[in-house]
Amino acid sequence: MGSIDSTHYFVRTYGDLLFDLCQEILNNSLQAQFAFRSILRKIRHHNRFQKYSHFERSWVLRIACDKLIHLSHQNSIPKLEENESITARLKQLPSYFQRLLPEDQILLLLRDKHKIPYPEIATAMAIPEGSLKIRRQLALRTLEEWIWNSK
Amino acid sequence: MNCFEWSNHSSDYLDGTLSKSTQDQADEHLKVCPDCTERLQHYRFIVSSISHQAKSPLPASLQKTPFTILLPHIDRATFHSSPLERIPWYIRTILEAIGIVLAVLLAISSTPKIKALYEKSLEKNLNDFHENLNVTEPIADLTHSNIPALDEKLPTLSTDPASPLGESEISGEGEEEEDKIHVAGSQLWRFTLKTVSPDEVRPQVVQSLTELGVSPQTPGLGGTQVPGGIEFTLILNQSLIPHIKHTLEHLAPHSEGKTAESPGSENFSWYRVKSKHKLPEGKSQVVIWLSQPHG
Repeated sequence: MGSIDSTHYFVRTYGDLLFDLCQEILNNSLQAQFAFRSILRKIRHHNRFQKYSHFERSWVLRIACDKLIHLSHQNSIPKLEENESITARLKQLPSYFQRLLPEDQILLLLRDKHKIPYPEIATAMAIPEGSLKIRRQLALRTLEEWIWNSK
Repeated sequence: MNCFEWSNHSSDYLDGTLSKSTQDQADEHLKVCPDCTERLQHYRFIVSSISHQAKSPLPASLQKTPFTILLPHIDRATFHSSPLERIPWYIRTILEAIGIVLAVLLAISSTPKIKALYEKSLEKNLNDFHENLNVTEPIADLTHSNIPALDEKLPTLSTDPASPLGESEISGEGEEEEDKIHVAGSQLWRFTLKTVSPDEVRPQVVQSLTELGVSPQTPGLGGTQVPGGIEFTLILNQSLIPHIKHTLEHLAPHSEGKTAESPGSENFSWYRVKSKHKLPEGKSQVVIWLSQPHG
């Protein structure tokens, strides 16, 4: 598969998934476009498509995760308005979500938004499957405490 | 299943991937635990919110020409949260270099002070240790009212030549032994007398010394309580030493029948060394050590 063809193939196959991840994690359209492009460039530079073709999505996601975690650590955490009522805090759920660790955000997005199975997420994030489940439960509990218990 | 176990299985419970038996146990627990039931509802709400978020589609321009499309200039400041990172790199590098140099200079300049403080504290600790070691408890043994009390601190050697002793006060019997034991200047004589109860022997020693002509005002005549016994440190006339030796030998228990020339006898021994202190002419340092035998 040629370089241009392979790039278009990845864009067609994983473009929406990758761009949505970029958009959700970075929370900025322009930054998401830059991040998407740098992920594609990294995929193209690796040029190991044939080698990893059996678990292609995991490989693509792994590159994306590494890049997004690196970029998101440079981003500032959004400030939250203090609200007494749970209803108001529920409306701010996306902002609370942004306050989670990037790894936890990626995990919840891949698992609950894009319905990617645990083994693939485990490969992408280089975390054992059991640890992923515990991590997901802790992330949910953190969100719950922020919203319902206002901690 | 308890709350902790349910919490550990909550992720699988939400996905519905628990085994049949574990699922039943989790359901049973949720029936009786309102807290976990409420938590499960919260989790489901969060998961549902995340899964129903609108997906951001890839912009068409980026889809067609992902690398050739020109993206608008991005403000690097939006990427960085730290104000320091917004400073141009050349100024930041200079600032960091100056900071490192200042830190090194500060470390170099403060090292001797820190060392001096450390040595001072060590010295202070050592002095405290010595002071604590020298603290003694006076014994209120004064069955003989004329016996001086024990000193509270180890006596320091005085080079004051004004000793109360005079040659004329020594009995003539000791002259023979004085010849046998050669007494030179600046000497330290140490007599060790082993006794089960140094407190009982102490008045006898003091009395004997007084009878030999040592003035009751002589510094150190009362003896000093130290760990393991009582110690007398005195500056006396050299001519007194044979008499002291003879007297102490008689005071030592089970020493009858032993000769004075055998310094290694059972309960009494003596030796002589050069004193580190400068003593007046004709004087010697005498240390009498009433020690309790070990064990």
